[in-house]
Amino acid sequence: MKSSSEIEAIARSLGINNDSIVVIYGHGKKKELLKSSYVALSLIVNGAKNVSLLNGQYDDYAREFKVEKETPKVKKGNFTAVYNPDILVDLEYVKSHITKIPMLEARSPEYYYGTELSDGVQRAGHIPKAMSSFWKDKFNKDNTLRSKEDLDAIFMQGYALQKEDEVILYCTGGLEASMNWYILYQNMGLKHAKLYDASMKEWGNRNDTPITKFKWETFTK
Amino acid sequence: MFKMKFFLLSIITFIHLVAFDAFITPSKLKDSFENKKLIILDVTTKEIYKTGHIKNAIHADISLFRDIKEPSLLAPKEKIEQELKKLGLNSDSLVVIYSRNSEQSILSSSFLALVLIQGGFENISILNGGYMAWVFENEFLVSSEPSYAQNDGNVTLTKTNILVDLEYLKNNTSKIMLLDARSPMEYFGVEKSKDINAIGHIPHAKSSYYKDKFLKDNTLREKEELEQIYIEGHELQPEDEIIVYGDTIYSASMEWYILYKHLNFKNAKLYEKSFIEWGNLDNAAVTRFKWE
Repeated sequence: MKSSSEIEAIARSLGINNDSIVVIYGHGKKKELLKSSYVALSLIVNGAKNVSLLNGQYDDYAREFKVEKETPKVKKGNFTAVYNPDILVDLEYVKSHITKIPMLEARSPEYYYGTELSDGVQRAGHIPKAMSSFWKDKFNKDNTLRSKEDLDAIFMQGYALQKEDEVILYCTGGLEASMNWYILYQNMGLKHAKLYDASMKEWGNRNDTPITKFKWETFTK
Repeated sequence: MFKMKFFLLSIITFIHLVAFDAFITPSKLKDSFENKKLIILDVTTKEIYKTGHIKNAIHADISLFRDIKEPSLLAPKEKIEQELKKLGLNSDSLVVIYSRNSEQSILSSSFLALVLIQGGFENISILNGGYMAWVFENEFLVSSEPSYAQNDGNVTLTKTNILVDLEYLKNNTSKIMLLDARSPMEYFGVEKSKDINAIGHIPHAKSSYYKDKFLKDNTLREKEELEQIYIEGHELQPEDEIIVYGDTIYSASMEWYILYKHLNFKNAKLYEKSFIEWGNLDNAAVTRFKWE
């Protein structure tokens, strides 16, 4: 992730003030959903308070409401980045917390299980004891978020998470995990949800990191 | 302890290999070509079979081994025996089954293998990599002239306890390892299985997609990797009782065949009516959104 000063400058150029309410959306494609959650993460990590993702993205909105083609003029904002050190974690942190706290991998199950290799990642499989939690499974086929009932079934019953739990999210390189993180942190209120931003692009390209393949894992404290 | 398990399994598999490989390579099949006891069965459709098949291979129509009223069940023993005799099967025949590369064809080969083994006939092998692998290595040993058995065979079948029913499954779920051979999406419950109402899996079952045991060219993974999947991944031991199910008997049959015949898990059983029965029961107990 970019540095706080860089993010502050970008946020200001987008007209974001300290008291702004920011709504983020993409157009249609799944990949754009992930861009929106990563932007939300970048802002929240730097202290933004009021951030939302538009459910159903541009497509749902445009079906119901008027849209415009003109690019709006933006007045420079006054957003001040205040870095929250409790959200992003690094390799050492992950390493020292294996078996101690639940970890969720956001890549699709083939990568987790190890029958396929992610682009840019040399070793197949997942961080030991991490559980498979494909980010896309949290969405319906029309790209809207699953119901609260479904999300509770996935996270609270399926992975036996509780609101106070610390949990680490990771994926290929931060993008897919940002959606799992966003749903847990912002939507379900797990304020100790953390993200390993460098993810498998770091972990899976070293030879001193443990990796498990061909195993579906569960986590018990 | 772990090393010991591997060691024992390797010994058992070694002895087994000498008898007849569960998955035979094209070159080994070629070496056995002159063996008078060899019967090669092609499980593809009759139309595709007629366009080309392994020399001397006989076409085996899979639908003849299914129950007429309920296609997810096997035909009665007498009917199966009669069809196998027509294919020329004797009790001492060596049978090699092969398929084309479509999913349906691949599962037809393991289905026929299951039909034979559950009837007590064990001298069988599936051609590793199927017809494509054969053509790639032995392109001249193919033919488009249909072959038929010269005489009826004399094979007789026995009764085994490989196929289990709903009642058995219900009474044993807590003590037996249950493996779901469908895709992880169907297991986890983000995709529906064809013609099945319930979404998810039978409680306590583990996900064990049969396709993950094959490489992209449809040859089986190395034994080392398969052991990693079953012995380390599922923490199974060779004597453990296992029940495999799929959406139907077909997807389950390949997962079961690998366990029973290739890795020698002799207590591996198969839930014959599979998820197409369980998932369509009223009040079916199903777990969704959970890896177990």
